[in-house]
Amino acid sequence: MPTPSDRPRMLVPFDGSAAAERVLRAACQASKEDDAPLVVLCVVPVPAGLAPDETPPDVEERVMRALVRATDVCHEEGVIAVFHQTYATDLADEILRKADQMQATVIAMPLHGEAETELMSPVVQQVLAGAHCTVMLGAPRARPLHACPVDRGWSA
Amino acid sequence: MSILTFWKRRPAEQPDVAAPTAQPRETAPEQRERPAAAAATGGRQVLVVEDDDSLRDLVARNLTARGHQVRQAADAGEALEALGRETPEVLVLDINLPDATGWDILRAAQLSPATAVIMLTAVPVSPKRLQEFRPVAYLPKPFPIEALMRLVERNGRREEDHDADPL
Repeated sequence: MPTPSDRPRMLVPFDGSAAAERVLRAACQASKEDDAPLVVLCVVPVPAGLAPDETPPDVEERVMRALVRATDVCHEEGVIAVFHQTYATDLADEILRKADQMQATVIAMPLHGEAETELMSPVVQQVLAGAHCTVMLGAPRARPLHACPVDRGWSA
Repeated sequence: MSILTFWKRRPAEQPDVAAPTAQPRETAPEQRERPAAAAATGGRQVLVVEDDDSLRDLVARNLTARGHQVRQAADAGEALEALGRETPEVLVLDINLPDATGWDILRAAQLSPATAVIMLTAVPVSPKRLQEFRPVAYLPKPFPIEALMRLVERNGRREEDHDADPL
């Protein structure tokens, strides 16, 4: 029987977006399937040059709401996860630091964050470049979207 | 084949015991060829293993249009044959194949750690498999084709990992 340290570990950075929720639900299923401990990380982005306690209250509140939502999702999925809220200027650095610290097997995150419109956000790109483990990008959709032309970013 | 076929639901993942119909060649990893043509042009050597002809063609056309040298395989047999001939820089690998799983290919091929593996699948992620084979990225279907292009171009794995333990 594998010891807890042998088990695969999953890290899900969560920002409260619909895309992040889909990924979290997929991670919950995988966690149940493989008995893999799940850690949900909510990072409060601290503007450069400010101390964590100087973070704008609305930003902090948004992350707190995301954290509460994450606990609801895990509860709905029947998964006992560990939840962390941290403060960081560099989100990707914080995600990578946490992944290394917990020796994550996989970091599961959407292709872009809540406030980002780019297909693959700078945070995702930094995580991909720095991760020592697999990065899962997005979650399978239950139903297809519409097809669109090749050079305009089809979904495959 | 219609574009709608891209969206077809795939069957459940095959059991791990399913063996590839073709065995890996005897060639040792260090003896495999690594053509320099794509590297010389800044592109990557990419092997795309996907049984859905339309999707494989779409991925291959997009990669080729971006200057990568692409080889294709429709099943595990073809994939192992291709991997026996040469070592790609990037392996884009579907998990559900008609004759085996992508995991079986990784187990049989014993790839050099310099090969970045990007898994494609419509089935739920398996952390145990990820722990065993350590692909660079896991891209659930459906995915934006541009995301895959960027993953290939980044070649995912960090330089220091190239000398680390194999996949």
